[in-house]
Amino acid sequence: MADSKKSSVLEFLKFAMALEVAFGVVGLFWALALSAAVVYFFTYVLGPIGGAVFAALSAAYIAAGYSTVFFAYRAIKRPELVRPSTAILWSRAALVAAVMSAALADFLYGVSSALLALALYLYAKELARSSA
Amino acid sequence: MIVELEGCVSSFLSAARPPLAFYGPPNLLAGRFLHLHAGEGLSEFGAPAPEAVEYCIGAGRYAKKLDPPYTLKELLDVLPEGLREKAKNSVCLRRAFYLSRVDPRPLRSAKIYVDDPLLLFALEPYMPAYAVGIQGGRKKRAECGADPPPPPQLADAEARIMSPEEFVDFLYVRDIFEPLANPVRLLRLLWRIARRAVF
Repeated sequence: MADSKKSSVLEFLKFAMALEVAFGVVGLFWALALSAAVVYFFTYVLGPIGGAVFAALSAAYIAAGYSTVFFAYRAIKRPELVRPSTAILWSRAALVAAVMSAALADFLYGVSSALLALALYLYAKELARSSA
Repeated sequence: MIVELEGCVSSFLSAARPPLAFYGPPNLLAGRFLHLHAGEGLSEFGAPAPEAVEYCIGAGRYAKKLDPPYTLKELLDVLPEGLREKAKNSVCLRRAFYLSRVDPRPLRSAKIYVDDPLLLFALEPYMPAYAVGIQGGRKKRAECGADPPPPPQLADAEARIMSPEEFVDFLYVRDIFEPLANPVRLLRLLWRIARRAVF
């Protein structure tokens, strides 16, 4: 009974990670192109400081997004490496990525990140229940 | 970090602000304290502090490599061969896992006295912890005030131990905004994430 529940949570996690990788790569390429355009525009209108500030913000967002995608890509192949502490850490990172993507109107990537956050949270609880 | 007290302990404790946890002989107390007990229980999931692992099996520096929460199995994986057998059979370690899931939220406005060092190690991340008889990171010598400190009053209380699932929830929502306010913590978190990128 407990094992079947664990495996269903694991399947959900794999599904969410696959969505994250698929939409993440597309969404972040789009974000990269958009931010390059906006940085160019800001540098033109506000001068180099405005452009640099926006470039730093978008670099932080894209780096955080890509590391979440990269984590999902590695964890699909070896889900046994996802420990309770890593699950909590990356669930929170995915939540931040989801909120930021929603703010940038990138809804597909936002929804997949939110799903990944939920799946990792449920998986952490499942690991806690089975190892108590 | 647990601070080792010396000198006029009762005078220091009557002036200290709650919450705080104290371990030592109860006759050194001054003022109102909660005498905290924990029920029976052993577990293999939690977040024992490195000091607790050091106390039980002398392997604190290996526990420092793990982020909370972790399981006994993860701890066994990072231990060297000689200590692994010792950890596998240790009741003290399982007790430390169980007590590390203590709920600090109802204790935020109290001065607490514990007579179990493992409970002190479990409370230390959430409040300043002082001890007589446990080696701490630094020492504090208190001077006696002019007024004699009030006599000790102990009220018994039972610690609430969270279930593993509750503990995951607790860690999930704890300090979610705190790293943003503290740049050093944020950098440390980013470094941890970058290091974890290779598992």
